[in-house]
Amino acid sequence: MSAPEFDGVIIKGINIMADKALVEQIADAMYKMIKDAAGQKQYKAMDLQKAMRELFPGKADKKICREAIKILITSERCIYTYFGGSYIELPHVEGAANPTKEG
Amino acid sequence: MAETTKATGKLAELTTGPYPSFVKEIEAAAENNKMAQDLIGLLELSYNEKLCHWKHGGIVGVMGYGGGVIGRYCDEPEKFPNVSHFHTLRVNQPAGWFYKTEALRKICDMWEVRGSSIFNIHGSTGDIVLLGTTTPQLEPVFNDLTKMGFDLGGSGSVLRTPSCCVGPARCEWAMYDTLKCAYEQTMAFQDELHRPYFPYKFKFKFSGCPNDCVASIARSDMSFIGTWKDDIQIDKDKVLWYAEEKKLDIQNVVVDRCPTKCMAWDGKELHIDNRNCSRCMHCINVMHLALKPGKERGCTILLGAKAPILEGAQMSSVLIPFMKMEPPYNEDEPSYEDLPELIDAIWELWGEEGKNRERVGEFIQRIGMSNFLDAIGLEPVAEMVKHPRENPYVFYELGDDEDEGEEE
Repeated sequence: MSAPEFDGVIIKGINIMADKALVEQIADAMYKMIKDAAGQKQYKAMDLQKAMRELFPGKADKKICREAIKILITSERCIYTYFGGSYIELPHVEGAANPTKEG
Repeated sequence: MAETTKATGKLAELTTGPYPSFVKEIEAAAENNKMAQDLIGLLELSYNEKLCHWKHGGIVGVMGYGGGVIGRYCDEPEKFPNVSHFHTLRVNQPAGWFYKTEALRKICDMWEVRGSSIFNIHGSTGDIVLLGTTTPQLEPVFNDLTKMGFDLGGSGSVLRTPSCCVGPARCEWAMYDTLKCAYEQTMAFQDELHRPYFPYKFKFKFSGCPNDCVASIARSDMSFIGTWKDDIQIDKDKVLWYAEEKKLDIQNVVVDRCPTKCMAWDGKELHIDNRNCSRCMHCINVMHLALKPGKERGCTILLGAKAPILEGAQMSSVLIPFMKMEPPYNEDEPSYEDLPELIDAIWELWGEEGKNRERVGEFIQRIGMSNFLDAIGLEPVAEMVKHPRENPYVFYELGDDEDEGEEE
C-alpha cells in the first residue's frame, strides 16, 4: 500500500506548505518596494497587492498578498501608520513624537 | 508647570451650566492624575488662543494591529509634559453595550493606572474610547484588555467596529437579531477590522427597526435597518380606544403625518394602503398598542452614508430592499446567508478601484450607481429610487424586451 499523498496544511484557504516560499518571496518584494520609496511615497496595502500582481502574474492573489503583509508586520520589518489614511511603512520615529521619561 | 486641578477662565464657563460637564469630570480626575491636570492646562491654552495643540495620527499602535490606537501628541511638551503623549484607544464594545459591572470596574481600575483615568462611553463609533496614555503603556494596556476579554476596535482604513442597537434584548420593535448580526460580522471580519486593506474607513451599523436608534442611515457605509414585508397588524379595538379613551387626534397626529399618505381614518376605522407604506414607523410609534409591524420580518440594506470629512455628508441609499435574516430562507429572495458574498463583492470592487481616502458612497457617486450595480452583480430595482426623476442610474432597456419578443 502506498503512503497517502501529502497535500500540505490548509489555513484560511492557503496551503501554507506549498505557498510558504511564494509568500516569503512576495513579502521580500513588497519590502523592497516600501524601502525604495521610503521618505518619498507611502503605500497602502492595496497598492502593494496591485504591484505584486504585476510582478507575480497569476500567483499573487489577495490571500497570498495579505499573508505576505502579515509577515512584514509581525516580523517588525514594516509597520502600519496613519497619516490621513492607513499605510505600510518602514519603522521610524515620527517628528511629532515627544520623548517620554519612560522610553 | 504648577499642578492645576481647577479650570479657570473660558474653560470654567463650561462647568456652570445645568448640564453634565466634561470639564467637571476632568477636574475630578485631576485630583489624582497628573495627565488630567495637564489636560486642563492645555485645554485652557487652546480656548484662549483658539488653537488646537494636538497632533493626531502617526505610527503608534500595538503589535500586529493597524487599528485601534489613535496617536496624539501635544505641541507644547515642555509646558505640559504629562500630556506630551495622549494616545486614544478604541475598545470593541459588546453588541448592544451590555456589561457586567465587574467588567467596567476592571477597565476603570486598569485605566487609572495606565492612562489619564478619563474615558468615553461610548464614542460615536460605538466603542469604549480610552482617552490619553503614553506610547510605552500601549502594549501593557492591550495585554490587560486581552486578559479581561476585550479587544481593540477599528481605526484608520479598516472595517470600523460594527455597532448595533439593543435589538431584541430590550426592544419589542427589533425585526431581526441585531446583536447576533453585529457579533457575527465582528468575528467574521477580524482581519479587516485590525489590518487596513481598504482605501478608507468602512462602517457597519445594525438597526433593528426603521426608528434607527444607531442612526445607521446617516453614519454607516453599510446600514442594516429592520423592516417587514407584509401588512401592518391592526388591533381595531385598540385603535378605537386611542380615539375615545386617550382622546388621540388620529387624523392630525397619525394620518396627516404619514409621509406617503397611505392611511385614512373615518372616525371609526383606520385603513392602511400597505402597498404604499414606506415603513417609516410613525403610526406605530404613536399608537404602539394598536399597531404592530407585519409578521414577515427582515432588513433593508443601504449603502453609502458618511459624515462630512473630505466631501459633504451623504445618507445611504437602498441596495437590498428586503433580506430575510432568519431561516427558513426562500431561494428566490436574498437571505442572511448571501451577506458575506455581497460584502465581499463590494469590498473587492471598492478596494480595487477606490481612490485613497474615498468612502464607498463617494466611490459610487464617482463611477455611477449603474456601473456599481453591474460590477457587484445586482439588478436595479424600483426601491433603489429615492425620488422620481432623481436617480438617473435606472435604465429600462426597451430594446432587450423587443429582442426577446422577436426570438419568441
